[in-house]
Amino acid sequence: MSVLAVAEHRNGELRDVSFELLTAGRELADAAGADLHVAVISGDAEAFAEELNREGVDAIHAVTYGDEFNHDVYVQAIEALAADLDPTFLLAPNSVNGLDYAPAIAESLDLPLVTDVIDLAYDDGLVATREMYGSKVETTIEVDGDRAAVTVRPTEWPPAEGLGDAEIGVVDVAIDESAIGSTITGFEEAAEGDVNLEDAEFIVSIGRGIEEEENLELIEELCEVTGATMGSSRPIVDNDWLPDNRQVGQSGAVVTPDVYIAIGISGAVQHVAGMKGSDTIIAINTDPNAPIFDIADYGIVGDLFEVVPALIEEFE
Amino acid sequence: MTLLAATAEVTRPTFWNIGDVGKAIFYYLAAVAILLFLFGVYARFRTYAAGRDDPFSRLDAFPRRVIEAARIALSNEKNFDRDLYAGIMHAFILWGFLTLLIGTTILAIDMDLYGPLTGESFWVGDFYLSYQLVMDAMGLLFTVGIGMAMYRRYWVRNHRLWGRHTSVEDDLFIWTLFVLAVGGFLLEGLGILGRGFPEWEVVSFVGYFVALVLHAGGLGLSPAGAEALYPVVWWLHAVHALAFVAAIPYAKPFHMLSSFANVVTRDEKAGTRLPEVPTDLDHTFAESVDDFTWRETLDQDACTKCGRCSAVCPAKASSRPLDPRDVILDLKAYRESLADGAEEKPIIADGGTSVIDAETMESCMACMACMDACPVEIEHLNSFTRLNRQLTDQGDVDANVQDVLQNVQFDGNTFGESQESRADWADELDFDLADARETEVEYLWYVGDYPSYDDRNKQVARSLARLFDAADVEFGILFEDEKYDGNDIRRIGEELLYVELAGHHVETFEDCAFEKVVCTDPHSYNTFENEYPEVDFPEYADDEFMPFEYDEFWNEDGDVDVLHWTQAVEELVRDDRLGLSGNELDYTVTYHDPCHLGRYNDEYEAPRELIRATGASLHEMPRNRADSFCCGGGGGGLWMDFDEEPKPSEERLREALEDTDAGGAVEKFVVACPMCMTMYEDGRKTGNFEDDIEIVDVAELLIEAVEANHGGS
Amino acid sequence: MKVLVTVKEVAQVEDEFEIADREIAAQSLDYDLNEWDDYAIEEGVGMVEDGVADEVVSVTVGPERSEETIRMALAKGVDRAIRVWDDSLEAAELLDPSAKAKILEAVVEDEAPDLVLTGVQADDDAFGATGVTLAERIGFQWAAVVNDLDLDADADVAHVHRELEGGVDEVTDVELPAVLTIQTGINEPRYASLRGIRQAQRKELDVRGLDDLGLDGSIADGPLTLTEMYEPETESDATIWEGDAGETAGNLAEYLRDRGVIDA
Repeated sequence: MSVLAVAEHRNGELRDVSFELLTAGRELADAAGADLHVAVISGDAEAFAEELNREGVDAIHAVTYGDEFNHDVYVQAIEALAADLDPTFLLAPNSVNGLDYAPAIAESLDLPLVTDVIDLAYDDGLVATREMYGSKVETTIEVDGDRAAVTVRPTEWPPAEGLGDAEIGVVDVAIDESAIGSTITGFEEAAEGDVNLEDAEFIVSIGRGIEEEENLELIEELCEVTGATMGSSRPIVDNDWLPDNRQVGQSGAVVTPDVYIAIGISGAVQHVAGMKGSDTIIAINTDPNAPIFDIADYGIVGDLFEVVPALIEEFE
Repeated sequence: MTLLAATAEVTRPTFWNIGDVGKAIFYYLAAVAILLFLFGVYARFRTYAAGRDDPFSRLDAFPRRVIEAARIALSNEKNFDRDLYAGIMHAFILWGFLTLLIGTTILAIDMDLYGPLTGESFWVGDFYLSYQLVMDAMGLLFTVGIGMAMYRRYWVRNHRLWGRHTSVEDDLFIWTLFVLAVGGFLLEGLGILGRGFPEWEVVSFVGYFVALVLHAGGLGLSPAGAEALYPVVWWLHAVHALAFVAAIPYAKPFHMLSSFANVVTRDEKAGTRLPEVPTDLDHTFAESVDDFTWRETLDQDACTKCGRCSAVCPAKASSRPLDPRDVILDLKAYRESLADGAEEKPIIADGGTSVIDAETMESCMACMACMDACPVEIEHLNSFTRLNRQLTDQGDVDANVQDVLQNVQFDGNTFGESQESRADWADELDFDLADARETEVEYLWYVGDYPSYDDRNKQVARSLARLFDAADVEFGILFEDEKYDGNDIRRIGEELLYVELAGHHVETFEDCAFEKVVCTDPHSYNTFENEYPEVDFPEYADDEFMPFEYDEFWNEDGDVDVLHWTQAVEELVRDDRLGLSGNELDYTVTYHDPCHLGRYNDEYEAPRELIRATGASLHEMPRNRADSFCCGGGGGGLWMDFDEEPKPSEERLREALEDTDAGGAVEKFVVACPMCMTMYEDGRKTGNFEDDIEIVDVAELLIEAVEANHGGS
Repeated sequence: MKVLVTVKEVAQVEDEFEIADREIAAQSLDYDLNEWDDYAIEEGVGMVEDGVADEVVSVTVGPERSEETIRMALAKGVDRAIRVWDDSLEAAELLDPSAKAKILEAVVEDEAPDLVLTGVQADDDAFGATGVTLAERIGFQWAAVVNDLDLDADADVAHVHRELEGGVDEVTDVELPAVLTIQTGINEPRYASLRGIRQAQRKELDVRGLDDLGLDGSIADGPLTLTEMYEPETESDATIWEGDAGETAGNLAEYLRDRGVIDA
């Protein structure tokens, strides 16, 4: 039995989720009594393979074809590896790229697919935990049959650490280039301007709770008097109230400041994914049940339109 | 020189020194001019006749309409509103012009009718003398009025006279009138001089003065010279005048007819009640110029570009992209360009390729200031609603407003909250509210969306509940059967959703036993009072999609009393049911008239009476009553975001603090509308007025007075 | 060129709800058009309006109730709609992406579109996998999480942006025919007025059973079984500052000063 985890990289670097995937893969492999194999495809695959050699990894397969992610290449490479390794469980990150190839490979290998998993267990079969209805409920899903493909939500597992003693092999997969239907022509920074949330040490972030665009002045003022950098959740950016480069979260910046104040942000997973690495999280929200309080270190249950002006007053 | 003076008949020769051929040519030209005039007028009215039927009857009681329109026009009252200078200017020109027109007509009757029939003239003797005195006096006023107009247009360059559509036709019009007036007096002067200053012509004092100036005033023109010059000036003046007559239907002077027709065909309830939408699903709103009704087309032609609407428009004042005059004139220009063979384009759309941009209509607050200011009864809101309905039909709806409409569709209220929690605001009261669906009540109180769900306005609702309770009124509410009233979404153009809400409410009202419907919100009051009774529910009787069974007109004969709460409580105060002595409070306050209570429904005094009943001293802002300046929340403005500078609410708070006769002493800004409350609480924060002024509802002021009394006794 | 847009009616859960028998009680559910699909519809309708496509057809898998949602799509400008349903689907607690893709595959075979647009995910079960699964099944090219789309019908290429994490777009050319999963924010969806929805009554809405598509109820017996549904435990160990706005703001200010992030 084996678990095959597929690492993810971009722009010459492995993404954090790759190491989290190792932890999830190891846990599952232990529960199922299986080996943990890791695949890394494209880019500087050999160097990535060295990096991925963390504790608990049994074997790493580096496929050295192409530079950046291309789902057609990934599908072909994984198909080839699967033919060889016959993995019981295929693990991929529940990322934008993960969702671009995992469903296809699951379908082509005829594996049941469970996406966006936040917990995994093995009890004579795979039992996955995932959320539904915008994180309002959690569900457990049992997979019939022996095999499955799973995409794993980023930041749910800690990254694997330590130096492993995995066997690293370079695999030469014959990629059928005529079957490649997508051509990546480049990358564009959606962000504009010179805001660098990633480097900020103190971030004040605003969400739907601000209600109207004009109310943003209030937050701007708070940032001004406190010297904080302003961030936001996705809806604010979707409404064009703030430029894209202000967005914290899965599709925006992933930030790790000393202090992160989330104002009027409920704490949807997509947002949390971008800020849970903050040293201290402080939430201001009217709803005491808002999920943001689950990850906050400090909280104020109250109306931002009262608390923020009072806070501004404190510093003026 | 004909020795007319010798005959000493007190009159003046007509066609003096023109000759028979000249006279014949003149009559011919006059006939041509009149034909051109008639044809032009006919062509214009043919366009109106081809327009769509108007949903409101506009020609009923026609004689009364004409008399009323004549009163409005002749009194010039609309022109005096908000602008005395322009009022005097227009009055002088109007009255002067009409007098000259009547005078000329009298002379024509004498010459061409009375003279040929009787061989005599009545334009002699005392009649002649008084005729000339009046003509010269009114001609002088006419000239002064034109002078005032030119001074304002060219020297002062008054901003409202210079808009996107200001063109050479505006210059031509005023200069034509000017030359007509000056030419007339010059001609008269030449005649008087040429005829050797007949003594009785002193009554033609302006002409006489001109003659004196020509003769002695350094010009030294001799009587013979004047006589020689007379035919030349006569012809210039005659041709000029006839050209003017012929041009009337083709340019701005046509407003003399079109504006009058517009006043005759006005709908006195325009704006407060919007036209219904035909149930025919193929009906289009503004896909082409043919979709406009004849009256909407006439509106466009009635416009004189005076800019009064734009000058009072709060959207324009806050730099939102709306100029009401331009909308009306853009539509007119587009219609006329099509007649000239231009290519068709969408009337309204998002993105700048249409006649009117979607943003322009989103900017409208439906406050009706434009209609109140318009001297010629242009009903902007009817055309604007047509455009809004087209936008809604096309799906071009602001994302925030889409959310609101979805909330109303799925939840029944604009907040998207559950209807079950609608009456939760009352939990903090120390008495229970009656359920008007189960108990017979005096007041069926329609609380409204904002007072039910918005925290600040919940305080107002509780104040009002305590007032009713203090007055021992039996009142009840509808709990979850109270939904959004629909007034503003109707103005945005979502008509069928409006009908759903109206149907639900009238059906609910019919199942309740009550004396009066009392509304917190003037918007609710307006639509219940003016619009629900006109909704054609029978038309929807068999409609499977309409979630109501009600199939009659509701309250057609006005049996059901609908009141704004200030009107109801004013009665209570008058009956001394609140036990106020009138000296409970000593605040210095100002009051802001909500558009939907004031301009829409002419209720200005009830809220003021209530404020005074508390003892507070009330100081008026310059823009009060019908001139009130919208808070910015109407017409869906509450739900949208605008780049505006200054925000209407901030500008209004500035007015309250700077422009009343109490100076900066005003401590409370009193409102009577939940939307105003929300907008001004917001403007107070964004405009940094928090330390200067508080926003309170009349109900909050009243309950404070009532409770101060109870605490004191 | 023909565009097929998949739409789903999704259930949204109110703030207060109860779970019984692995289901949320019906009174706490509101049904609406899936947010992502709204953007997909706008994208498809825009293509017809811009003359890039000739026809846009929507397909949904759902019970009769979901016709409300389909009518919204029709009101927004979709030319005609197909609804697929079967009692066996009603009985299934959970349809996995593969089962959905099989149903859609049968529709694609009938309709032969050049482009299929789906939402990135559905608001309710949030698998986020149906589009790509479908592409694999029908042999189309694909791109997931598209936030910018420029179709070159003559060259049979879709120029797309894929919205990657961290504010970076991947710029990709995808050969047609293709399945694109559409991300929110790609456009501004239009409003479906009640009048528009009524007008849409006159458009064709074709209801098909599984057997019409050459499928049978066994499709619902997927490999996934929902065994539990529960409210997540709140595991908050946050220190909540109590008091009114002034007090709590004071606490926060004090903390920030102690922490040294603010000098003031």
